[in-house]
Amino acid sequence: MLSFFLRRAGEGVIVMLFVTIITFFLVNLAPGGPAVMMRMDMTAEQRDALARRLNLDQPVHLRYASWFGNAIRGDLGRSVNDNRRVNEIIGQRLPVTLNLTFWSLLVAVAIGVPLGVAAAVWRNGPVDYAASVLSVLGLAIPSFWFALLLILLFSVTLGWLPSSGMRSVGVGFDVVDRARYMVLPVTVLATSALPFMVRYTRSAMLSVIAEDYVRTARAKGVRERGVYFVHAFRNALIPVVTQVGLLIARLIGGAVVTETIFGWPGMGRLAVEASNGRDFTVIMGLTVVIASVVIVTNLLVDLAYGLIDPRVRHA
Amino acid sequence: MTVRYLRRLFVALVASLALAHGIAQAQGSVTIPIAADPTMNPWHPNAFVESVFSNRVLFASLTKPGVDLQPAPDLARSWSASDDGLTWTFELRDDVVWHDGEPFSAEDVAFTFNEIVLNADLGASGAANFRNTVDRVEVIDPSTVAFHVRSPFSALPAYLAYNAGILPKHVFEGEDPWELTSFNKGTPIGTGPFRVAEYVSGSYLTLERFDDYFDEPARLDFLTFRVLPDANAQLAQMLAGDLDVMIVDNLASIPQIDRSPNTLTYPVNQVNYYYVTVNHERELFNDINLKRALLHAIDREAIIESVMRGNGSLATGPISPALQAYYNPNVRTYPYDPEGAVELLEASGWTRGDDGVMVKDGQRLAFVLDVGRNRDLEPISALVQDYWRDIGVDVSLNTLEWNAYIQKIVVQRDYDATINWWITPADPDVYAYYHSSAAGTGFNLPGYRDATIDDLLERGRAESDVDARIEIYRQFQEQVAEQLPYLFLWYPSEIQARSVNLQGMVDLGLRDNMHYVNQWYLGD
Repeated sequence: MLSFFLRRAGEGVIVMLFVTIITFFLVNLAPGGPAVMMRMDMTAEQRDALARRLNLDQPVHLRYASWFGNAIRGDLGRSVNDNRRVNEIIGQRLPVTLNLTFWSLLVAVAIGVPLGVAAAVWRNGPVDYAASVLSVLGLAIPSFWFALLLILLFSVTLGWLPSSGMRSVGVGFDVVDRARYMVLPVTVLATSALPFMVRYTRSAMLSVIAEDYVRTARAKGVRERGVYFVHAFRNALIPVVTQVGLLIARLIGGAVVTETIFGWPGMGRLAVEASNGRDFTVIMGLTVVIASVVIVTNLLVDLAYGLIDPRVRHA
Repeated sequence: MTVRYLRRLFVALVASLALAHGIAQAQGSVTIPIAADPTMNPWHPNAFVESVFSNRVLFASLTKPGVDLQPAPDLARSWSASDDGLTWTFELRDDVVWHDGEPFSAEDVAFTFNEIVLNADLGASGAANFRNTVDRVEVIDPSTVAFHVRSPFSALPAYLAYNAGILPKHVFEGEDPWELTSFNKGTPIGTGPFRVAEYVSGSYLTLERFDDYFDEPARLDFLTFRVLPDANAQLAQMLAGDLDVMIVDNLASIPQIDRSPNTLTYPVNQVNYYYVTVNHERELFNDINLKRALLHAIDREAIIESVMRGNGSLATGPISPALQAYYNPNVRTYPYDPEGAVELLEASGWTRGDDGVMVKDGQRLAFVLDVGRNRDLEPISALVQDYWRDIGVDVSLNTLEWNAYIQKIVVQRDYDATINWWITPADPDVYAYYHSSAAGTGFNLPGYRDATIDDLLERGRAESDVDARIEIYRQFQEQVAEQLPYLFLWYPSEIQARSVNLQGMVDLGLRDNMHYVNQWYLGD
């Protein structure tokens, strides 16, 4: 187990190194430059002065070496555009995205897994068809459109829920207030994740139900409920856990559309803002954090396999 | 008994009047959307348009745009130029305090300009307006400051009204102004009618009334800028009543806003014009007939009606009708006339080739129109491309993400033609955009050089008599309309969506209205 963990950690470090090198050079190859230098109302003289201040007149490999030297000491540098510490910026944005991701995934799993199991158990029945229709709708409806539709209905027409933001301005921590602001963005994000949960659970359950040991269980006289929930479900969880891992990795990168429309200052919006503004240091900081989350999530998913299925053992 | 009754009645009357007065003096909160996080320092290179709103509230400047767009007093009570025009003296108010209670003085003005704006190593935003003209700023006494200019600069008071907020010396002295993030991205100290109450990066900035403001105190308690990057989300929030005033980017939504019982739209003139710029460094575009043909070929009225939903008027030059007396409509105009455009091309030796494209000396009339992905530039460019194809010009569109667009057009000047807009200070002095000295490096994007235009701009800049300036700039507009350094498209109106309860706004664009935010109030 320990050797497995150490091997994966070593692989993670190598992956991280390559990811940062590739990202750094790609970002510097992109046309344009930091937003502070790419203003319509700026003369060549002003632009040159800023390039010198930001060390952009140095060769790219030297700038990478300098960035890397600081990064391994935990210092991701300062934003090229507004000089804030990247650690601080990401520290503000990551909890927002984690909050949104956690509740959206919880809703998607809480609804999607039972629905997927039900669709498998009553295959080709009304529940299965309803689950299929919901899944297709969830996949087909663009998030930005669905979000605006919800805002128009629940905020503009009915006035029940706030249309954007994370909390009322000037209000301290208030669970009810926070919850009201979460309903719409979590609904939108969960709706986009739900179809994956339903389809993967259904498909995994159907595949497990066809296995010999399930037939054997039935032959031994195990009741249907026991067959599904004791014998089949636990084995069907492996692909579902894989899917949850993939979704976490995807959502940590930020749900750009949801965050943008609902005014949530999360990682997705930060990534878009940093890319548009060519904020090299923020882009690098995001790369490190997102790559770390992907690596750690993959590791946790692998470890979870062992807990779910006793046949899986990490050597 | 009767006396006691009358006394009670009197007290009740006074109390109710006081209460009514209190309500009129201080009430409520107004929320405005901004597209990105603000940077709370008007000179910071990262202070883009989203920062202009809050910076104009937080930081007073020496002058501000008057309701007639002429410079009006702000921190300066009055100003005058010396006889030789080389020194401008500003008399400052002596009752101004910073948001932290420190007194404001001429030292702050001199520090802001000498140490930040005129410091070539800093590359301050907006500094180009001053670095070529102002030599240094001198403190005469705590309430008097002198701007020494290199050559007479009559537009100085107007330029000082344009994003030229004064910073506190006692905070910035000895600090790197761009690295002072506790100020620029935290709790700035200004002299405006509101100060920062709470700032949540990426979410909102709330300002509270500053009771020691030097002018009439604000009538609102709070002003909130909510960070909303998406125009549709802004509209939805406006309709939901979560916002009180905004600039409408998506003009197609105007009927929807007007249908709502709680919102109204207001068109406002502004100092802004859309243009096509052609690169005069390319030999092709030094043919005046070609430029005139290109402008005649565009049905600008149709574009104003379709893309701009009727919110604009045909542009005749760089000086907007909003500048009233300076605007000269009696110049050469370019109505939609595709046949006339073809005749102009033929007069320059172009003839229709087999594929319908004009040809001269074996060279096809073909070039690239670069398009920046911003606001409505893409549909406008597509329409212009169609109009030009009609007269035999083979135009290819090259759409670029905004950052890459700026690099290609503004930094590298590597383009044939492009469409964009300028927003300039409220003064006819457009020296920086049209003078030969700005070709290739400054704001003279087309790289246009014309001795007559240079002469008029130099004379206009040096002239302090208003009537004489009006005459010079009227001649300038005639010359510009003849020579077309830019192909002028239209003067767009700014469409504001306002809550029906929001009162006290002046008849200016929303950004200029921020100078008058102390007059805003909520009421029927």
